Amino acid sequence: MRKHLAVLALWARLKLGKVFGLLVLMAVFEAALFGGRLLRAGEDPPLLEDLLWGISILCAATFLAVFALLCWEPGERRYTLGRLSVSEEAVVLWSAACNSVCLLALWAVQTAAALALCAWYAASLPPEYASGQTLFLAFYRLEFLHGLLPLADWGVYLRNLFLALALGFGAAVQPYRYRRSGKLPLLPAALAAATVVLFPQETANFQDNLTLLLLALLLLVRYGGYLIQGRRGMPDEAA
Amino acid sequence: MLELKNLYKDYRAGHISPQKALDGVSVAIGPGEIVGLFGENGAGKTTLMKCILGLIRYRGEVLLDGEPVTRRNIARLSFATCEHSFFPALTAEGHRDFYRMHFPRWREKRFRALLEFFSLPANRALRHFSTGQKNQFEVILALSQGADYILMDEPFAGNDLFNREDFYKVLLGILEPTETVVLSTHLLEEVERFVSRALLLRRGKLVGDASTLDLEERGGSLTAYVKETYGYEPDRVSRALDRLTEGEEEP
Amino acid sequence: MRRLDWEALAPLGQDGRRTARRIGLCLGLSTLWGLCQFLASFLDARQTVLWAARLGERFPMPSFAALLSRTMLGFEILAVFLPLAAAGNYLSHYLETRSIYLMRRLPDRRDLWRRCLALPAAGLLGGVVLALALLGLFLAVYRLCTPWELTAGGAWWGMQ
Repeated sequence: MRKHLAVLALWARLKLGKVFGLLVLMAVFEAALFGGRLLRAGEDPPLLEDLLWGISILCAATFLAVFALLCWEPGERRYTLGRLSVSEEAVVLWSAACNSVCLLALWAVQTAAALALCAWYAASLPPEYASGQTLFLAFYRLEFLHGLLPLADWGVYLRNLFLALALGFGAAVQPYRYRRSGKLPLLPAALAAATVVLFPQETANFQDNLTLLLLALLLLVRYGGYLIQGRRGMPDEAA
Repeated sequence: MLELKNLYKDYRAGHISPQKALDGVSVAIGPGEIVGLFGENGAGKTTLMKCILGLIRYRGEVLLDGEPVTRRNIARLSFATCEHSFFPALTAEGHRDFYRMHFPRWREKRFRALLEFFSLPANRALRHFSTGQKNQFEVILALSQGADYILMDEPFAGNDLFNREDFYKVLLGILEPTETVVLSTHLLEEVERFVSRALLLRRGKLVGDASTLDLEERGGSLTAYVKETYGYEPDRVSRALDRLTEGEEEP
Repeated sequence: MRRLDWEALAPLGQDGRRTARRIGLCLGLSTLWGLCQFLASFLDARQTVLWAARLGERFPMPSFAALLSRTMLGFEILAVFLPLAAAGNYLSHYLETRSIYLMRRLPDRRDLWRRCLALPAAGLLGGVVLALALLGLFLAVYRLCTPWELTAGGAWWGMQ
């Protein structure tokens, strides 16, 4: 078990710090953008939709930057990874676990930031515009917020969790696949692109969820197959 | 003439204060010279070559026959690096086609001859070559580009002695009088017989510049010159061993 | 007419023609998706409105904008994916070897950028053209196949 934890610690050391840095930057820029607009607003209270414009774009850009960071693994590591007492496939799985944690952290930080910003907005509203329901309604009405914190929409929580697992796995398998076949797989990037477009969740819209879940499942099945093939010691395509 | 004037390069990434990779290097290299570039690890040899090629930013000037290195004259410089700059998915033939398209002075005959001499397959993707074969191909590309100044950064890492010896002989045989080679290597004793000039770098500074002919006439050798310039202490090892074994009981 | 050199439009070692075909396939699938999505929404809405009319109920046709929901999904995903692919093309010069050193010292400085950007840019441009063409087609279908009196407020694009 210690050997496996050592591998996990290696990935954590390589990735967590950088991802954390990106998340902090994202939160700071979002607060600055939101706060700037809120403070510049005139007498009439601004719409939350207008204030949140740009936040979703920053979130998407951070997500893509984090995903690119998780996929990137330059250098020839196969000789090192192949000599460990832990199998290369196990190393990939621990990398996938670490990647999923990073993506879940992104979800958590963005949700916390969105909650804080919306609470700030609600506090700034005149009493006749605000109520105890303001935040609650915002997280149902606005697609971006609903995708982050779906409240009673349990299917979206499962979707987000599944996406974090699939994208984390895809990012870990990508360099593994490249080392063995010389080909750069496109499916993880395609799933990341689909996530950016389909993440904002309209209440009771199941079609987008289904699309994402199917793509994620395809990735897990296909890349799971590569790992199993590798574990069985099947010849590399590049050999 | 390749002139380097007051080259400075600092690296900041990963350091609290900037690290000087090049500290005011000035040197002129003429046509037809075979220059050995020597220095300890981290002396600045690779950085110097990358500055000449414009691959990294630097302060100072790099001039080729009085003109800065631009797209108009960059084809006069070629580069072989131990990191390899070829395309792993492409074959030797594929590289030949690409180089011919971009470098009008491509030397087809030399390319074919060297490929045959080293028995390298023409139609196999380079990623399937052995390390030694990859090194050989990297150097073949640099020599066949048709450049006047051929920069080679530790091109022989991973090649066996016989391969290297053959290579030096072939190189001396094929180079034209106007072709200049700048070769960065740690294999001092091997290249001693074939370089005409030695440049010594230490912590980013040029600390030595000697012609091998002058050294020979003075009765010295390149190895002795490098040791002297670096202040190498021959009894360093024995002193270190004495310190390590001090106070240890006799078995 | 000179035949297009596909290999010159992709990083060396990548099959330019195959990449172009894949992009074409994605554009085709996005177009097909958009067509099916719009026709399904439009025909469903039209059917509902006509049935309501037969039962004596006045039920206005949904607006054109409402019927467009999710029809451009494929193009939106491509719009995010293709820049990632372009970035991937550039970063591929750092994998296994440093072919970036060669590309950056070529006399033709455009070659690197052409190979990284040409096919993704063509895909994006193709996506924009197809999306606009589809929008025009959908508008024509909506305008010609929707009885005037069934649109909300009589406005020709059915905007509320």
